[in-house]
Amino acid sequence: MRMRRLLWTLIGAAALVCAQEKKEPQREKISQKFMEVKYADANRIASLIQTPGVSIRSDDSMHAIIVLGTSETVAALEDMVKKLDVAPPNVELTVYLVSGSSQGAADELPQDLASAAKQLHGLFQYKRYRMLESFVLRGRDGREGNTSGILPGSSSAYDFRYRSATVSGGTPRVVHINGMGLLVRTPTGGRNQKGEMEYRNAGLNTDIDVAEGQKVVVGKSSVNGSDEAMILIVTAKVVQ
Amino acid sequence: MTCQECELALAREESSGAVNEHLSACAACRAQAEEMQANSQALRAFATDELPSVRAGVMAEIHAARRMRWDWALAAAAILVVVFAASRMWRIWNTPVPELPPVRIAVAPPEVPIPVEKTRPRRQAPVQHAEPLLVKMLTSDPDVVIYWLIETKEGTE
Repeated sequence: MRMRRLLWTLIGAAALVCAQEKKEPQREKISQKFMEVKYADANRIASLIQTPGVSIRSDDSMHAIIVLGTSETVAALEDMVKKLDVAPPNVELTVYLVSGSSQGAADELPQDLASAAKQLHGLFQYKRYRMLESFVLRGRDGREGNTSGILPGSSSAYDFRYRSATVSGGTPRVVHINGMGLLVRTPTGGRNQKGEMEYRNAGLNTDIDVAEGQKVVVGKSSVNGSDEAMILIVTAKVVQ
Repeated sequence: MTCQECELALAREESSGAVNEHLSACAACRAQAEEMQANSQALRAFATDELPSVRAGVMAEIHAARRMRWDWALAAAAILVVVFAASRMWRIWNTPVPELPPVRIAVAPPEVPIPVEKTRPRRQAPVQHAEPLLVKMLTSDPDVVIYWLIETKEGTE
């Protein structure tokens, strides 16, 4: 009886040894990969793709990421880097500064603004719309922009700026312009007690969303107590 | 009654007056009758004997023979399995382990305590912002969107 127990114990131990040998995982091949980052910040991408068991080193000034890990993981991370490293879109804003007046007969607007003028005439009593200035601003997605100058044929100075213009996906794409502001400074001709010139300020500030192909009109009546309106017409285009 | 007739009657186990009369007169037949009776008693006793010791002994011998055969087969199987396992273990131990690449250990920077001002914030009066009201106008052209600002604060410098 004792002999039989001993034999069964030996068989069990041998079976355990064989089973453990089968369970031992095969060692995966380790590989190292250099990845070039053309557009995005290499350090930001490296922090995004951090994975346990993988060594990731990055240098933004050299536009490089080096990944050390199993071949399968390295290949997956390479795909992620390719998806993340895309050229950011550029945002092109075309801005028209227009005045609305209760006097006059014909509009002085470019043909591009005919549809906007038609809608304005249908909504307001202003008889004449005149373009004071137009400009194009182009910048990176998410960046700020500004421009300034003197309105042609006047002594008024203008300053147009926005805090950020970001593009969201979908069709059509929409440009979100945050912190958009226009300030027009017109000298009154007078001076203050310090002898400095006095200005009359008029401006507007708001956030707007402009879809591609759309004209967004932002206006304000009774500028400086007059019967004139200050109007901004903005169109946006996303350029890759 | 003759001796032959008496013998037949005894074999049939017939007991009659004629048989008893002949047995009392014939010594040979009487001796044969006693012998047959003794044999009959012996056979009856043998039939009731259970023979326990003989059966148990025979069965024990049969089991012992079977157990011997199984023990040898089990031992042979165990030896084979142990030899196989030992050869696999020998192969595992003698397989060279590939060198792993050096592992880079990142050390977290020490936590820097952020100074927090413990002064109570002063409650300030709500500031009245002259936020302009943005009104979206309805247009017949979906590509033209018109917003109109109302009550914008203006000033003179």
